[in-house]
Amino acid sequence: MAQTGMKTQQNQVQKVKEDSSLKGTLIFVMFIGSFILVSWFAIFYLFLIRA
Amino acid sequence: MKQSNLALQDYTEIPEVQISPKDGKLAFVHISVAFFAFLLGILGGLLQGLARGGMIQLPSWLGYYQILTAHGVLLALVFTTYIIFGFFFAGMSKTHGAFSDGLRKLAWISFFITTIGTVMAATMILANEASVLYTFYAPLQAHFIYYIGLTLFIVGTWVAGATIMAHYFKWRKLNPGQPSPLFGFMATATIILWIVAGLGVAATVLGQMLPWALGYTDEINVLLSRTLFWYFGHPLVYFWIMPAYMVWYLVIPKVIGGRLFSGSLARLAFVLFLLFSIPVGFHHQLMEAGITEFWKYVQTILTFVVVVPSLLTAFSIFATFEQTGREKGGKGLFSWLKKLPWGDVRFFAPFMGMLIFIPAGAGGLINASFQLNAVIHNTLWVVGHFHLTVGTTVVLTFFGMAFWLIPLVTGRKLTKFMNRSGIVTTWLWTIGMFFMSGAMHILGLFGAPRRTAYTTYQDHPQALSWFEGIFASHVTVALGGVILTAAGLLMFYNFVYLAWFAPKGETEFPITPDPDDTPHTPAILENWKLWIGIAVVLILFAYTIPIYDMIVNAPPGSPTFNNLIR
Repeated sequence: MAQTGMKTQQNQVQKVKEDSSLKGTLIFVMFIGSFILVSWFAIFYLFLIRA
Repeated sequence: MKQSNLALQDYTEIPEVQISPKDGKLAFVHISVAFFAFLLGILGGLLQGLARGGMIQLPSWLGYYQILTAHGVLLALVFTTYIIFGFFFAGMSKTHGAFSDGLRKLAWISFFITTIGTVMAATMILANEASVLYTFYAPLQAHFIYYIGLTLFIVGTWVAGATIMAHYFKWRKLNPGQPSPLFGFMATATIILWIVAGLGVAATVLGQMLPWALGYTDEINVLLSRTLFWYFGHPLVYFWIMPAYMVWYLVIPKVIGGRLFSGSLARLAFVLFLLFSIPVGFHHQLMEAGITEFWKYVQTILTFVVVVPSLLTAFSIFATFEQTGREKGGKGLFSWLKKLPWGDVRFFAPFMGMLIFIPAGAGGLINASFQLNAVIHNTLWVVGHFHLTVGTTVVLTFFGMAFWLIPLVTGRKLTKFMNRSGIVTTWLWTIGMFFMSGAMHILGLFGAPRRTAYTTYQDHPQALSWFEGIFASHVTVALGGVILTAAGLLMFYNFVYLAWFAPKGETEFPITPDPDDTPHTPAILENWKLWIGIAVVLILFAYTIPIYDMIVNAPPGSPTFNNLIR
């Protein structure tokens, strides 16, 4: 009984973990950061070649 | 789509707490003025785009710079300010209870002061006595009535702000020790920012421009007036964006059927906006003589600090989406996105605004970097940039808001037909802006200037190329402008329908349930004296020495130019 109870608890913990995953958010914020850097360096490159 | 229809059905059938009808009327009057100004403003924009592209010639009685001024003032100042205060009055009534009769009376007084100022300024623009563009840079001089109108406009909004803050602090007094409702906290941060920023524009208008326009002084210190304008002008951007963020933080989580990821994080972001969005005006003046590199450098650093709360917002909102999507059974890395109500205009329009804020924000960082600013300064790139920030991110968020706020305050319902119309409006606006702002950005990189009527610079090949590109062309800008006008007219129709013709019924004010971390809100975040104190210290640090220098070692005063661009 105790073991079954523990298993259920583990399952619940696992479920909560899965539900609260923010992996997509992590990738999204990394995308924003990369987009900012690429745009910034693209215009900086224009500055350099025109200077 | 199925998900979205369900969301809409829930929304129309299960209304929650309403706002006081008297407060609803106050909000509605503000929203109405906003949309009538919007209609006139977009028509000005259409004429401007077609004239600049050489596709039409304006009649002799209508000047290019006149409609440019009308477009900027009506959309960037009047539309935004009125719809923001409409939202604030409705939201404060919903979250803090109905306004007292005294406060409501004060709010009506503020409305009349602001509106008298608006009418005075608009009349002068229509009379071609104030074609000074919405930045009203000296030494271009407008009729003194225009400056009085602007002053009344600002003072009116201060009175409206004081009303809202009084309502907020009354709540705090009645509920000691409790974290204040997020809506009031955020509205208060926005209003404090607006009042502190407004001091700059009040100083230049009352201290410099009005005496000059009345003939009491012959010359004006242009450097000082531009500095005081940008002391106000950059926080103005945050005055637009913070209420849009409020919709993202507080309304969208409810619309998608979830709750905000973190209340404390949201409060922190707004405190950071209050602290860091004012002492940064020099990044608009990076190419100007008369300000030393050191102070430009200091304010550039502070500008980059104010990026942090926007990045916090991006994280917070996306985390809210993911948390909600997963709670609804969404799996995988991104499959939970399918659980969001894409067919619900209350979500879809602000979402498109968020999406467009990614290139808009990246463009902002480019503008604020000294060397990169040299590439884009005073070009159409800048115009393309603020049409993404205020013209799309903020505007689409307010469009999405209008679809529940208007029926809420008029006692009507958002219908499925109106929802579809809103989705079409959103797509049209986004597509129109892709062409118009996209072409503006590229034209700017090719050197096409802003604030300039149609010209080929005596058929210079470089200038002619700005009309001949496949995408990067003034013609593309005009085409985008036509699509945007169609979207704008449709939105005005949506407003009229929702205000006077939609079926009668009750509508919900969607607001997120308290985030899980609400009981653990750090008390320091509510310490307004501390935040205002730090904001003042930062402003004094960033501006005292340069402004002292501008006054003591003033450049030669400029004579008046009041017929130059009529």
